[in-house]
Amino acid sequence: MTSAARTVWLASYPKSGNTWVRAVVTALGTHPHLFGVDHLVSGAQPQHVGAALGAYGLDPRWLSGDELDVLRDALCRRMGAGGPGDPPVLRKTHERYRPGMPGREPFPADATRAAILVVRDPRDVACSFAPFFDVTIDEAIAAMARDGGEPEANAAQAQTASPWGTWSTHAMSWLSDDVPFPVHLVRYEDLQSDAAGTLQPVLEAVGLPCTPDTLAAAVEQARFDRLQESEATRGFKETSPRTRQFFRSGRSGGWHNELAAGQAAAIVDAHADAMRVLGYLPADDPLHLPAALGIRVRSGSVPAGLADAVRPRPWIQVTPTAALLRFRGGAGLLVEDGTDVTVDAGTGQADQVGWMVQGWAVTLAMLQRGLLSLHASTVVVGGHVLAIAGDRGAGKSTTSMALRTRGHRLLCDDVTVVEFRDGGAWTTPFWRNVHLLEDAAAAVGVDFALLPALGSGRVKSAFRAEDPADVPQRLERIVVLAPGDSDEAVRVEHPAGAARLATLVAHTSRDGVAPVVLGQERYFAQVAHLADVVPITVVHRPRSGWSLDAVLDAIEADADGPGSDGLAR
Amino acid sequence: MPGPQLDRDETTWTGSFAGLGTVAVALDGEVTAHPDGQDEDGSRAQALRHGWGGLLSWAGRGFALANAASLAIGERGLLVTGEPDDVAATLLGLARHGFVVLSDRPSPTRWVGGSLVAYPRDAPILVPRRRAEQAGLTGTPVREGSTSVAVDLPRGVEPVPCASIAHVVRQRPDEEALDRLAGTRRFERAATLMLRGALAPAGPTEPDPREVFDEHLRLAALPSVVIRMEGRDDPLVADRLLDWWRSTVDAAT
Repeated sequence: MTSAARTVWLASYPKSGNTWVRAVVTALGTHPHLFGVDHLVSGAQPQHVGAALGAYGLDPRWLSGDELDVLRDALCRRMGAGGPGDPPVLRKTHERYRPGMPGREPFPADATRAAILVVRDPRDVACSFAPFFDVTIDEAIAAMARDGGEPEANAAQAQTASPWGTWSTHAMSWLSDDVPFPVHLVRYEDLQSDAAGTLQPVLEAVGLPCTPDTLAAAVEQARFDRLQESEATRGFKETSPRTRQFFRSGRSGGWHNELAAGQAAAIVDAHADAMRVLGYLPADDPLHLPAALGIRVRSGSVPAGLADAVRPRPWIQVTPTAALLRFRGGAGLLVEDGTDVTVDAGTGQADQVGWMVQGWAVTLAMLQRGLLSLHASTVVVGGHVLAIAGDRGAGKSTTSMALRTRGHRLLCDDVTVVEFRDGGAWTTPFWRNVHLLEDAAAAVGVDFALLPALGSGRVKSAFRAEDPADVPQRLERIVVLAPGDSDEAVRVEHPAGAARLATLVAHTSRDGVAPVVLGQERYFAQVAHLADVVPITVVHRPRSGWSLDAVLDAIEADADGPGSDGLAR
Repeated sequence: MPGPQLDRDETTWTGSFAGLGTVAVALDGEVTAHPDGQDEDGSRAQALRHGWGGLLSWAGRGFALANAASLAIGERGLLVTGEPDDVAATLLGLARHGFVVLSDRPSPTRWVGGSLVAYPRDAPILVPRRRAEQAGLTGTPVREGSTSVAVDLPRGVEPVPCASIAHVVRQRPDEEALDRLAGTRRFERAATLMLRGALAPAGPTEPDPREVFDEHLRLAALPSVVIRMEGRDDPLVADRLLDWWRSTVDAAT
């Protein structure tokens, strides 16, 4: 049963396929002989209130901005009012979703049945945006990344405010949990590959029933080349006065031929997070870190050495503001000033880039910003935020993934960046791949063969877990996995005193880099503070004859149990 | 229900918009404005009077409101249609060439004999603030949050027969800057000139469709041109219109 309210917002950033969907919907309700591109339904956008004012004889230029907003709200409600079973009223909008105030809601919830969000790869959007608005590609890219790129609200034109947001904030605003009505996501690229199959469930969900046959006929009627032909012969009143042709190419992936590499990279830099969510970046794209980290990554050559650098390991050179790491096969990583990362993949080592960037680059950048980094995964176990630490090979990733299969939430693998505030230690998780050995993958039920390989002799694969929200989490316990030297059962220990500090040093020094970057005194002060505010559990496992389940049981019991170390939870 | 309401009964037309106020229009043309709340600067009363009541008053007295600004030079009138900003640019340009403004859009008109006569309406002339500043005019803001300002331009005070219609639009690639309309295109444009709905002239009955069609034909008899602006700041739009006026209207008389 659909909602009684009738408005269905057809939301999209400009040049994302909104008009095409409208053409299909128009064709659904129009005799083929009468269908024309110049008579598409749902073209009136909510901010254009001037036309409706004619019904009242009001000159909108005499209204204040607030009155125009009230008017928009009222008109939206009037157009959206209806009864159960009434057909939907589709309304195009390029605005981002925003809740507004009572009586001045841009998208009144109780007059809205649903929204259909049409998204398109921003690299293709840029190629279409530029000619439509008669700007250069670079200007289009800049406008798409800038809040306020839309035309200003203009009482003289009887428009209320119509903020588009950036390409990213537009899409994510409609997908936010704050939206009080259903939002159906439609990707332009999916429309291209199967328009009828993509639209059918969405149109049914919003109460615009159609059969596969009628929808297929409408899609055929609204074929792109037909829209182009119709525009050429009859014109298209909705097109920009600055453009020669509205229906340009309609292709997906055309950006490969139209954008320079730097332009494509600029778009990805600006919108990586949303592109990843919407499937426009590979889940394991190694070169793009979440924007919230504030780290810029680029490919390029790195210097052979750093002047006045300390070498805590033969392959690591560190100064207080820069770190240069050299890996096998000539791969190199330069991290500077806590923000700038240069990756040289070397020869045949491209698969190393992921862990170089997501692991080392983030760790080094955060150290350069003065933040401690635990070599640990972050997992929420029974509602408690735990850092699962351990030496290389201790099984951090395997244990974390196994906890995940038990229903606990894996926030971040292998890197836990720590900040101190409010008397506690906090970590903000970020998306990164989990790197798994084949037997570890098998143990936690992941099909190793289906994962992208991580080569270079490590025989690991990259697994993409759920995106963690980049919300700071208070760290409640550090669990250190310690392969034991006996054959006893799995044993839990809560170290005290100097042992706590020693335990943490082993998992925070990051191959000796942290004391160099932070300075010895600051580094040890931070580790000591961490030992003071977060309880530590060491899970000893026997050399042989142990089961992963026993380790997991111990971690779960410890997380739920009372602190045995006297620290507040 | 929030938002504007309009009641056109037989003796009084009443418009109300919560937050703005109420305006009552007697069919003899008298307008009474009652702004809501404190209206210390009188801007709500002005909005009710000029942006609503005044227009209803003309319609109530049987005038047809053209969706155009009206200007005159000598005894000949010109109607200018288009988006508000484009019409404002044209008005400001023509005022520099000796035209006087009879009415900002919309314009009260009436058929007198065989002529469409435009009547002077005394409401302030509104233009976008940016446009006024470009023209070197000090506009008076009309409402908080509005981009419109009232400007002083030479005003006409006598009704004038309309000699032509100009439609100002934005130029698209490959389009001519000036397009003399003829045939069905002139008729199509003429058919959209008069406002209907709340601003349709009051009368004892609904207009006969044949009368409406006849009016369109009479409007289409007026020389008509599409003037295209090369971007929103085209400085020559009024000059092009003036050239056409001289070659068409002046030449005909």
